[in-house]
Amino acid sequence: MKKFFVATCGFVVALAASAWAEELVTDDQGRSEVIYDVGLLHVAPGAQITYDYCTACHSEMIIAQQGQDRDGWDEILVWMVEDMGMFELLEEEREQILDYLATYYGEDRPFNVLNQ
Amino acid sequence: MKDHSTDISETSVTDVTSAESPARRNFLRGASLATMGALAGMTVPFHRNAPAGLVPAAFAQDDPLAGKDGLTLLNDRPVNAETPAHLLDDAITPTNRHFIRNNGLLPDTMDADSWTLTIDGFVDNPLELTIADLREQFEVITRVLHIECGGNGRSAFDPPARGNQWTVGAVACSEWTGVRLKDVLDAAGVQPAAIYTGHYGADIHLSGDPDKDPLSRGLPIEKAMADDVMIAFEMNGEALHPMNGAPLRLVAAGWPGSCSQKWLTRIWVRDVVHDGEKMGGQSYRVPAYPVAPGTDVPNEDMVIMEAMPVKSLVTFPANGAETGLATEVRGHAWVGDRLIEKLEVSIDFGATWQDADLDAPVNTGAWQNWRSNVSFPEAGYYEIWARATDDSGRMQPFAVDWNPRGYLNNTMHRVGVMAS
Repeated sequence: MKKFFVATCGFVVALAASAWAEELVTDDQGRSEVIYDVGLLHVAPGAQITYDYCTACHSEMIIAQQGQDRDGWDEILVWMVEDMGMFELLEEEREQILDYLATYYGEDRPFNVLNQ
Repeated sequence: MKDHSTDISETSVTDVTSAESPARRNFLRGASLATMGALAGMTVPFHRNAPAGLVPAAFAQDDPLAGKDGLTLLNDRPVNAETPAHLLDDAITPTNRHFIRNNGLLPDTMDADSWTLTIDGFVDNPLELTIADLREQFEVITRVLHIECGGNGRSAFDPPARGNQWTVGAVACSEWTGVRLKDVLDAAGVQPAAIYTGHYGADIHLSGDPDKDPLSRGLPIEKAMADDVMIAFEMNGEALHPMNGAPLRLVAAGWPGSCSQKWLTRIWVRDVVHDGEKMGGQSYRVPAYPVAPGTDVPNEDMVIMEAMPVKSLVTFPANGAETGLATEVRGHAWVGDRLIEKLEVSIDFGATWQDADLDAPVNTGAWQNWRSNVSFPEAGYYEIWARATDDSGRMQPFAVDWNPRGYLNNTMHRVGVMAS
């Protein structure tokens, strides 16, 4: 019974995931990324890697509430790695994530879920 | 591309005028454990043994707001949800309207029968107590106690402070049943060297690392020995809600909610200020001196927040409501470790104020209910402001006293109404 339940859930998840079409997005800086599922995050280059790395432990809902400048986000990533059990990011990936967060979740909170 | 943004925006806009769905509200309240089990596609063999109103832990984990009604979900992992002000109108907050502030994931089990609480450290007789032991060995008391998250009101900070962007609804005042922490500490025999408690819960760190605690805060021994600090095993006469710390928690009235450890397993009596998770650095701490908004304050200049400041809420009318040319206005006022002495209401942006009727707290640590009748001189838009003053003469400010992590925002609550 339990196995059947798990298998059914898996099937439903697979269906839900397939509803997401892959989409290549590019910004005015020439950065691009393939997006397949970023939850509540604003769709832009950097959203997918941010979503994938951050939602390993917590929901993207907490990200989408924030308004931090680049230094603020940098500090949060340091805290995540030093204290919260996040693995060390490659420098290139780290820059990608910081660019995304500082652009779309900066102090003016242009895509903040609370403002929508 | 599916737009998920509406999922939250619909709930984050203060839902002021829409009628609540009674059918939906009554659904979970009325649903038996067997019914909820059936919905989840399983039977619950021992459902007859479960206390009325119990929300199955597994169900709560799947639906973050199971057993809650009308809360705004800020985060679903970890779960954080606040209550719109107009849904906090009850004198005693019903369980389904009590906010949720979690730092980690729910414990794997929340079984009241096998739960144990350890009291150790600087005590003469370390104790290990079941909930049945607590009931049998100590005086069981019922108290109405208010809890407010230290970060309630953070969303008003500019520049923004990191963390959950609470508006006004991370506060509640429910009726708790349990034993005094003081009585348990007395039984353990607190040694003269003890100055602080350290609290531990069974919740799970977001990383899944069993060596990390999501949160472990504490209290100065003087507050731990105060009358309004309880180890609670019932909330509003029923088992604790899973999201509110089932089956055992601390309730430290009037101090930042993080001092009221949920899923409580251990109280470590210490001869130093507790240094558990979120006791140090910038967490639950504010600058020792006034700072300009946006100031980077070094950790060594931050001090631990203690009693929460004077504050109030308008719970009727709702923000955005339409009203006649006269209406009752009501709400609650509270302050940590003190009493509210005065509550005033203004309908003209603070130019003039009138005194409201203010109740005494039903017991030490309860919020104080207040009400007033206001008349509007002509049709139009008005803001109802409420301002509490405590017995030390401190009053709610108009502007946010900014600090780096967005704590202690006790600015006046403002409710807009259309009078005609």
